[in-house]
Amino acid sequence: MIILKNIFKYYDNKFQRTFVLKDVNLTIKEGEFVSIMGPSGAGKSTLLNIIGMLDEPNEGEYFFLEQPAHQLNEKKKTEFHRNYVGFIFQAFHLIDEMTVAENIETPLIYKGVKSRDRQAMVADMLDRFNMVAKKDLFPAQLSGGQQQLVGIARAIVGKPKLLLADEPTGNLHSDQGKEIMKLLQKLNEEGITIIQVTHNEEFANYGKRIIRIADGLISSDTKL
Amino acid sequence: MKTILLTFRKLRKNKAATSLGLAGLVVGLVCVIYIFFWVTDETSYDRFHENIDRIFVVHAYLEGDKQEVPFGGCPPAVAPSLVNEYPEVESVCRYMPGQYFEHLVAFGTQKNMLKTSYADPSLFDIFTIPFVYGSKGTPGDPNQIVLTQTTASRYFGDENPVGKIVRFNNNIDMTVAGVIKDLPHNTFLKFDAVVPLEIMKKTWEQENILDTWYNNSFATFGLLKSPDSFDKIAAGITKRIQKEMPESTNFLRAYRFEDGHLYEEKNIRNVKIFSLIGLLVLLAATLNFINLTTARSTKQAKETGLRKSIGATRANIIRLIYSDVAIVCFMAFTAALLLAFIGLPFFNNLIGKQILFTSLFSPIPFSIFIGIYLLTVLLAGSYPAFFLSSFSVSETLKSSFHSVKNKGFMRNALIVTIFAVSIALLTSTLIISKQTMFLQNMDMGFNKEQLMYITLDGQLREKAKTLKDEIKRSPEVLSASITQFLPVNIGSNGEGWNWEGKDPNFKLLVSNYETDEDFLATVEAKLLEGNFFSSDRQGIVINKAFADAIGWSSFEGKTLNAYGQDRQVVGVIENIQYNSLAETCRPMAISNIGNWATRYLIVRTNTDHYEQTIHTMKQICERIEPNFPFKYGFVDDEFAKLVETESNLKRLVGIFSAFAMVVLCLGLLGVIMFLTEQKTKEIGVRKCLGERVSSIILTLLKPFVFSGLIASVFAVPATWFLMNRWLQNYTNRIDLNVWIFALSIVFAILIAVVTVSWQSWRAATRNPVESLRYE
Repeated sequence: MIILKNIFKYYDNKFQRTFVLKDVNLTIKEGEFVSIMGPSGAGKSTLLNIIGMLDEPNEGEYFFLEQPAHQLNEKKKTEFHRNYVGFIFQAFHLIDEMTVAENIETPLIYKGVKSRDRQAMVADMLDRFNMVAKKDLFPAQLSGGQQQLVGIARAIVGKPKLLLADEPTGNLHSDQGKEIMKLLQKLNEEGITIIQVTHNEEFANYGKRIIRIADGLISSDTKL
Repeated sequence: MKTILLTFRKLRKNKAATSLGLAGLVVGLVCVIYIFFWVTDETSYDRFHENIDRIFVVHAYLEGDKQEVPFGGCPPAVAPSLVNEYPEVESVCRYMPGQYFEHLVAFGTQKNMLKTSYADPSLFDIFTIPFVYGSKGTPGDPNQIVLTQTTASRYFGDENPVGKIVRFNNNIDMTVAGVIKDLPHNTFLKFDAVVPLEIMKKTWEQENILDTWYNNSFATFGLLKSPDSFDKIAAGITKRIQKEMPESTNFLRAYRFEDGHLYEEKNIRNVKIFSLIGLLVLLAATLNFINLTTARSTKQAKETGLRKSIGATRANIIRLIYSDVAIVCFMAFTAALLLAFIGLPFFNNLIGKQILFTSLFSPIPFSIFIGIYLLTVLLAGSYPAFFLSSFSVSETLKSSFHSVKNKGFMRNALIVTIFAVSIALLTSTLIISKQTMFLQNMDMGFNKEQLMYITLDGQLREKAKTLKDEIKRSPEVLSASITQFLPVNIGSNGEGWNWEGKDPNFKLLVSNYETDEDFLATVEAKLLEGNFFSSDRQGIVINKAFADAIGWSSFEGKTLNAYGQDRQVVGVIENIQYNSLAETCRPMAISNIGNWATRYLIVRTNTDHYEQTIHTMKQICERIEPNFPFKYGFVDDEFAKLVETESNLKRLVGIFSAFAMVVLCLGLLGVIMFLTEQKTKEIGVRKCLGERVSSIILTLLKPFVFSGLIASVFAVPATWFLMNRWLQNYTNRIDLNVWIFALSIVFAILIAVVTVSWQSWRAATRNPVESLRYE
């Protein structure tokens, strides 16, 4: 599903070039659950952003579903975001002025789903995450764990093939974190490919494969 | 719908920023709406006439000694000659405006002095004047009168008065021919009644009054068959008077009627100035609004990044931000319209207009107004739309993201702009006030305080001397003088004066003023040489301007020739300011009044409590002439009317600069609130390191003072230039000096300092522990 070939990412300062990713090669198949680990500043998030097409590599090739993603134009990238990928963030990034239901609905609007279908899909999600009673609340009225549930619901409501999670449990305490990880595991069993970035060994083990990064290089790649 | 809901929720969340930004925008918009009202009113002056593109105006002018001296009208014989000689002219009309003539119109017991215009009946064909009852009347019959609806209802209630007979001027019976709808206030046609011009022969007791090739009192209008033939008329008429009177120095000129109010009377200048002020205030208010919306841009940028990650295109984002801004602006416009509506009566009252709120909703003003709305949305929305959508998604979604780019340019541009607008308006207000006050307090060459006048009608004119003697008997009256004109409006002048040694090419326009021997004492003017004329000392008195123009060393006993008649000079008086305050005094010759010229009795009183005096005078007048209502006034009021334009301008600019100052304060408040919030940590650290509150406040203040100074670099030269041009219209004018500018700069900066200090003091006195806790 994902093939990265000789990916470089760097920033140029006046006198020197700082590498974030150095010659990364990686293949991820459909249905995998990958945990990316590594110290701060190792380039985990950058790698995730490149895979999610929020960021571009300076060099190298990236194929998504056999298509050369590094050659996609802005329009195609938007299509990709609408149809193939869902994001989960450490800081949840819910829209404060929207209710739970409206937050979940937003990607469907961009996807062009009809209003009636949207209502049905949002209702499904709320039902599935046991949040029907909370659908008219605003994010500020929810606990962190619940907010992240909304974040996940929003990420998967459009039925993406790939779910990218940047430290999804980083702002949660461990019980809530476990809940979230179990949920991700279940989603993976249902067929969604998941790539998560995490600091937490325990949570990394929920995945099927652990990739460790240090100083922009892949230092190990273990299947569990 | 959803967007509207979302916008409201966002507004609720950012109360301080929202209310400041919105308040600034609303205040600015109210100001813009008033300017808009005013400009609409000025530009729609006399625009309701359907034939507007075919009407032209003819007036006479003198070449004068240095510059052209224009008259409002031209000789009465010009109009008929136009129809006879130019087939392109469909009809013509001579018009004597009603502002100047009040006549008694009586019906039964109802007696009123009406502002009466004299006009050829074609007035009603050339201009669009709709009738409620009747018509312009039968041609050729001079004994007809047309009333306005309001006037007619004073006499006849709701009845149709056509055919009723009213008594005009206490000596002529007139049939009511028609009743017209009341005309809007912004037209030159101001009257209560119109009578045929023919009747002047009777009221003026002069059979040839309408046939002369001199007497430029007749406003003359023509209607062309096609607008294109204007140039031919304009080119052809210049020397028409000379064909009949080769010695005349009066030339004719034509202009298009539609240019009259704006261009001939130069009102376009104020229209331009105020439009510019309006745009600047709009700009300042919008910048203010932009600044406060982008103050929360860190959060906005994150939301934008997120929306992109879930599939929004840049176009989606831009549309979202624009609709957001459009909704907020719509609210602001609605609020501003509401406020403007509530305040309109006060505004009208202040500037002496009767602008209707509904004037906004006629097609052209309304579409321009919509245009202003769209412009505001465009101005206010473009910066956030393109700024916020430009960030890289992966950057904005990092938890450490801060939109640092927003720091410098926009905020400084905002502050400098509103400073500049405020300083410019403030300076203009000061200059205009100073000039107006200068005109009001100018040395007039006579004492206009405690000087009253009585208008003479009917028997009062015949028995003016008796009236004068009786009035002088009352203890409050010091002196009285019968005159032809009030000094504010001396309407007779000409170039017919000659003297020994005069250069035949030298043309001098001299006002001819008739009054009696008590004039000098009554107005308290100064005598420079010789004496004032009296019953045993016949002759004329000239003013200093006339004396200077002739240039002799002494005048007493010398002879001047006036229109072919020798007149002996008995004295020279110091210039007394007349007709205009703006210009220096023109030459004037004063001669003893003839019976036909008695129009006013000027009365010098020794009291400021006029009730008794007025009562006594009224009794005397009504005993001599019971048929005419007693009519009096104060000379200084009449002079105040001369500076009405300036007073109105002063008030207008004053109002607008007050608005601009409010926008400035709100803007500064918003900016400093945002800045102190951003600098909470810095302030905390500084305090921990032992810096004093006063020093922190000073650091926060410095950039604002600096912005104020930069703004003055732009504002001062621009204002200097514009105001200097405005002052050129006045021969009697103040000098522009540095102090006026310095004063307004200091004032504007002071206001800023107060506003900013208040907020920074709050920030600086916060407990540093509290401010450092935020991370």
